[in-house]
Amino acid sequence: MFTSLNKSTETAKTPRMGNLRTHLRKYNPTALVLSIILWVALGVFILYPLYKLLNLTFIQDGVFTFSSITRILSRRGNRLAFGNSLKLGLLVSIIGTFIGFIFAFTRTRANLPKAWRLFIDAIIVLPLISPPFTLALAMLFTFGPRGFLTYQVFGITGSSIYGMWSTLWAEVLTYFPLAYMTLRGVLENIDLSLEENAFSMGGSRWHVFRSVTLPLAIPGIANSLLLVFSASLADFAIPLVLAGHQFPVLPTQAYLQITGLFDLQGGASLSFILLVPSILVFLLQRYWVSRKHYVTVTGKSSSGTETPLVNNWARYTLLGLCIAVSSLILLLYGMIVFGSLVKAWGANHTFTLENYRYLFTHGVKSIKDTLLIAFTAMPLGGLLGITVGYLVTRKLIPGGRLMEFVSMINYALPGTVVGIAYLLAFNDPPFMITGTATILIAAYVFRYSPTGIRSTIATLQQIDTSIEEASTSLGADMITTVRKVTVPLILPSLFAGLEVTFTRAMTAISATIFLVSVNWTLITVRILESATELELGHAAAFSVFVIVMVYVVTNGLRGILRLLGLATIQEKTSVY
Amino acid sequence: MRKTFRLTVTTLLLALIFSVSVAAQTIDLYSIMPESFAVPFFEAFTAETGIKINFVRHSAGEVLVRLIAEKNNPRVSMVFGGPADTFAAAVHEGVLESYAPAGVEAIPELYRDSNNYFTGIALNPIVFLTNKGFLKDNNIEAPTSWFDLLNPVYANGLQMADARTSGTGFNRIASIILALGDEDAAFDYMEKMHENVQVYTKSGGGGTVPVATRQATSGVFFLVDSIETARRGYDVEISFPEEGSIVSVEAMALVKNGPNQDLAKQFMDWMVTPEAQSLYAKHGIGFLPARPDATVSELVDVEGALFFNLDLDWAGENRQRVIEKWVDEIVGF
Repeated sequence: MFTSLNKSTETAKTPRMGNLRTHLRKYNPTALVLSIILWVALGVFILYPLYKLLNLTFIQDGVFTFSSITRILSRRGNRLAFGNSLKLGLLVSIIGTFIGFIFAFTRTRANLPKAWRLFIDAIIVLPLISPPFTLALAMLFTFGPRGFLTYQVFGITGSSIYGMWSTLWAEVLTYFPLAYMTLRGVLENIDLSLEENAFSMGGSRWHVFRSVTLPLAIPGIANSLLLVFSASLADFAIPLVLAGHQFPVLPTQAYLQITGLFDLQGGASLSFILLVPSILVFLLQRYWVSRKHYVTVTGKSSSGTETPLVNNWARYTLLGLCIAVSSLILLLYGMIVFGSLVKAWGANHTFTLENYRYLFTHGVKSIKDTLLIAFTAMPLGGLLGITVGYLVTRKLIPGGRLMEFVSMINYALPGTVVGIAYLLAFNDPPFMITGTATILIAAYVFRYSPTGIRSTIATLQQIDTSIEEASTSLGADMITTVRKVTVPLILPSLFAGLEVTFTRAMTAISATIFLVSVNWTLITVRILESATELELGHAAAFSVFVIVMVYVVTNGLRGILRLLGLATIQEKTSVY
Repeated sequence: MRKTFRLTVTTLLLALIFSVSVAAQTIDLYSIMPESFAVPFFEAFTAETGIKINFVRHSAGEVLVRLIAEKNNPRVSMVFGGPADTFAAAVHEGVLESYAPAGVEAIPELYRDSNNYFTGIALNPIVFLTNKGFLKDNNIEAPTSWFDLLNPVYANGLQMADARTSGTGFNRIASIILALGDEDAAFDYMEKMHENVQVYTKSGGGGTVPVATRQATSGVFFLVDSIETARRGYDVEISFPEEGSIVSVEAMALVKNGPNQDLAKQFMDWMVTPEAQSLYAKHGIGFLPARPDATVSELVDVEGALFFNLDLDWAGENRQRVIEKWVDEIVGF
């Protein structure tokens, strides 16, 4: 989602105290009022919980101390978890980016027929919208000691499913689509004539790939590495099921410290340790990689154009690799559908619709709650995204860069950390909202709106301000300009924000597991409960419902955009 | 932009309105007992009194964290189910309120807190759960001694709960300490058993699915999870260690300063009645009732098994130390 196809913004000049009033006069009053409202919201829902978390970690009896951090780090398991998290993130990002590159390259360079391109696009979103735990369960039934592939197909006995390698591959399968989406945008935007020219000047295919295509894709590759790395670093559900006891990682350790050892401070400290590399990666990506994009957007789509870069042999190899990975994804998701239609997944495979009957009777409350929360969070997250993005890019307010950074914090933090911080912050006055839908909506809005922000900024930076200036100089006021000129330009970004907020509100669990309440519960939490209660069929049925629901809504959104005659943002840049 | 703003405000207001909860004649509670076991009780109580029960199900640790975080503004009136040592920890944190349900004398003193901070509602022993297909293929009987689990045939096949995350794990360690007589012998034993362990799972019942589907071969679990596995049609056998194991007390308690306490007290009174206590048998739930005179399910056959009670004072004082020792000496980090 951080793919920005542009130069960095200039920093706004800092006002001197003396002429603050004159300084502020430069800004549009509407924008200033809006910025105050936004700062209050960001303060309450991002900075305040973060302060509470740091307070719990570092203040003991009113004194600042590192003792809780040293106490946590004195345990070898926690130090191991820190190392493991970094190692896992590194490997997942390298392998995930590699696979993502193969997919993106095949999609944009192998002259695939339309049907194949649609097939790849349909399969590749599956891991991104899948609810947690169920995929890990499907992995267990596919690759476990008596798994479908390991035992029934290949006859391997005694294979072990727990540990680094299974966690690694599960995360690669889940997060390589992020790499794909980033790299596809980048590869599509490389002017094909560059490759053609190099080729016609006598370069071999491999030489052209190495000296033209690859260097132009390098910033995208770096971006994708960082994206996948941070996704893996924050991942909670997969390690919880597959890492086992020999491969502890930080997000699960933090959760276990709290729920198993009843040690809230220790959990907060572990979260803080996790926060450091997350912020580092975020800054690296935001302020280093994003500056290195040389790609220019021409508006011409290059997909489907004949390219000389891939010969037939390479095309079939690439396609073969993509089909192999896609089949694996299809198999795993097929397992989930299968699990939702049988009596006892893994033992009694008699067909039944009982699980769906349960879903639409006992599951109705969580379905209603989740949909209500997701549909409320969706417009809020989308609006927050374009508002912040617009104010920041058009320098309508002072301190825009700071606002952008603050609005990204909850995204950069692992979900468990956000959840705990919210629990700490919002059960006492002045902000008593635990147990309400508001806290869940706020968690989603402030954690997932950054997609919309980034996408808005990326879009707006490609649009010359002169278009808006022309409108203003012709006598339109700011609101008219925004409505008539800017809105149509950033509508795709709004929809990207809507899509991501909705998808996450339907599927995320790590942040909200501590926030659901007697009045408001979520499908993802029900999936976790069903899985721990041995109700695997229920867990599978809930998951199938989530996947179908997200597919319907996101495709509906894209359909609306297409009706409005606008390209979806996915066709230009990645949004997740 | 103003339109945008207006829309934002309206939506925020709507969200706030949605979030105001309706509180009349309802009990809000945290259930540590799995939903499928707890709901029959809630439904029976509602049918009898008209009082509705709203609940959310969490693991014991999550409930405790929430009670502590919500200490100043409790969100629920009571906690339902969950092992007594969690309740002992909650008493220590000062989040529970003492209440003796009417007729509590019918529940043996062993199964309730002496200061009435919590009351036992069910019993749940630690047992072995083994895959029958595996037993048949290897031509062996289900384990009947802790030492049977050291058999190399179980190599890389055992699953049981991680003591750091699950009350089941701590109850297993305590069982072994009591069964073998002292802590040193227990840790020697656990070091040997560790060699056969495939994984220590995060949740207490997390290993039952792998055992049921033969991804694992055997493990140490609570009876209720094991009976549930069998009841769902998985081919498994439940057995008991002859050296004995702990019977954990499932409890309930009133939350200090919680809302609608009178209704919660009414529910707690009802929970100790013979009618309520016999619902486990009626619904085939694998708990033993806390009231000796209540009907016991025929599924729960504990004939001849030796059970210990967990000394909650000892558990409270030694829990952290024993778990850390287990992590250092057995898991290895």
